[in-house]
Amino acid sequence: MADILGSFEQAVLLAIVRLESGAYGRAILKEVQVRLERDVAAGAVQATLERLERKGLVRSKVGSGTPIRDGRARRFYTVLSEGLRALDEARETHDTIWRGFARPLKARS
Amino acid sequence: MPDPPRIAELILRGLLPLDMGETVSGDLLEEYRESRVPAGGEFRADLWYWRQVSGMWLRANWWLVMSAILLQAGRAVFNTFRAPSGAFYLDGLPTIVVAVLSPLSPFALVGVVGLATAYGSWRAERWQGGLMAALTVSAVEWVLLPVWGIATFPRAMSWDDIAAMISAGFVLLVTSMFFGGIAAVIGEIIVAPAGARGRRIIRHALLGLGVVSFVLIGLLVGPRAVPPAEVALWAATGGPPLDFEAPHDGQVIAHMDLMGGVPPNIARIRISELASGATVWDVKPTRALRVCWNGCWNLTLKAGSNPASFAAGRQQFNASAPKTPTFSLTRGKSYLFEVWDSKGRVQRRGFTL
Repeated sequence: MADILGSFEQAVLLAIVRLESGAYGRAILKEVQVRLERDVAAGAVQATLERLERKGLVRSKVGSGTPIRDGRARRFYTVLSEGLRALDEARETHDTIWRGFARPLKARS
Repeated sequence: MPDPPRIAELILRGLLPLDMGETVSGDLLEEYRESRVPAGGEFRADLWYWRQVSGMWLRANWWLVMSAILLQAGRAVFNTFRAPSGAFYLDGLPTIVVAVLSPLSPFALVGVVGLATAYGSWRAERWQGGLMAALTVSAVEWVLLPVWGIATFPRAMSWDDIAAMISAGFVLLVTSMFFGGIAAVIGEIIVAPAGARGRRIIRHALLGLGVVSFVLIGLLVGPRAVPPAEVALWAATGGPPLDFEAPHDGQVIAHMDLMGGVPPNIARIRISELASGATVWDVKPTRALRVCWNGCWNLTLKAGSNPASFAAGRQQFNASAPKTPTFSLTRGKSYLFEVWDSKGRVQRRGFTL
């Protein structure tokens, strides 16, 4: 069984899945910000991407730059099968924990 | 097109390996130009950029900053709590234990910067990363020294003390850059030609080397090397060292030494009443001598009767005032303590028993 993913790791991995071939640093940052509905530090996303790559859940490849970034290269990320499996497991764990509860939760009187 | 702050970009580039530095700085540049500047203007975009870089810097170096803060805290604790004789509680332990435990050595902070250099060059896979890490961690320590001093001694701190801390910070920076620079350049020479696997192994070895030099240079060699460095700094900038312990049990101890190991060449000591200026005690040595005595050079003054003349190791001090064998200090009264060295330089501190 892969390591259990934290919620931020899940957000980053799902952003890469959603962005498909356009998943590079800044696009991932924007996608995570939109999904989490808050400002996210670029360093937090960067550190998470590095960690996920070390764990073997994503792979990165350097691609071409654009004029707005002075031609500086972009690093594109792809989720590996191990990463998809980790996401599935995280979802399953999440569902198992919540099974039997109706939303919203109500306090006992 | 607007550009982000140059220094922030340099720091960012120094944090990461070359390829990663290019892609990450490109991402930030794109966000800066495409979103932040149009939304809030250049000034706010610059602030955002600094925040991002600071966050990345802190993520990488928080443990080094924490080490520096803990060393400062340890230093304050050992300075505050001393044996009644004025000696440090570490005195008497084996030298190696003292060397490792002593947070009083500023070389412990140098060790932190040396470690930062090794870690920076390991992280960035090039010596520039080590240099940048040493510079930024030194800058943080440099700010930390006077801030800590002001926070812990809000009433006792003078501009002279702050200036001394800043100059000590400069010595710290230069020393650590020397050791760190050597480590980083060696790291670059070894790391650059190696293959991917070799680089990984060498990077870990380099960090190990940094830890070892932290222990060897920073803590073992440091306490031996610090007194001459402190003496040189003191000889160039200040008068005799003088530090008062907080009065307790009706007595106070005046420390007149450097790092508990180097005594000054004391030429005269005088105590006078702060309110009237009347001389209570005036004493001079019979001959000029630099000699350790009572846990280097610690003078205990107590409420009531004190000997007017005394022997400090091989040095005899004779009182010109008062003419009686003893002089008296009163509890609750404020006094001015003055000490001169053989060059005629003087340090002054007030104390109340």
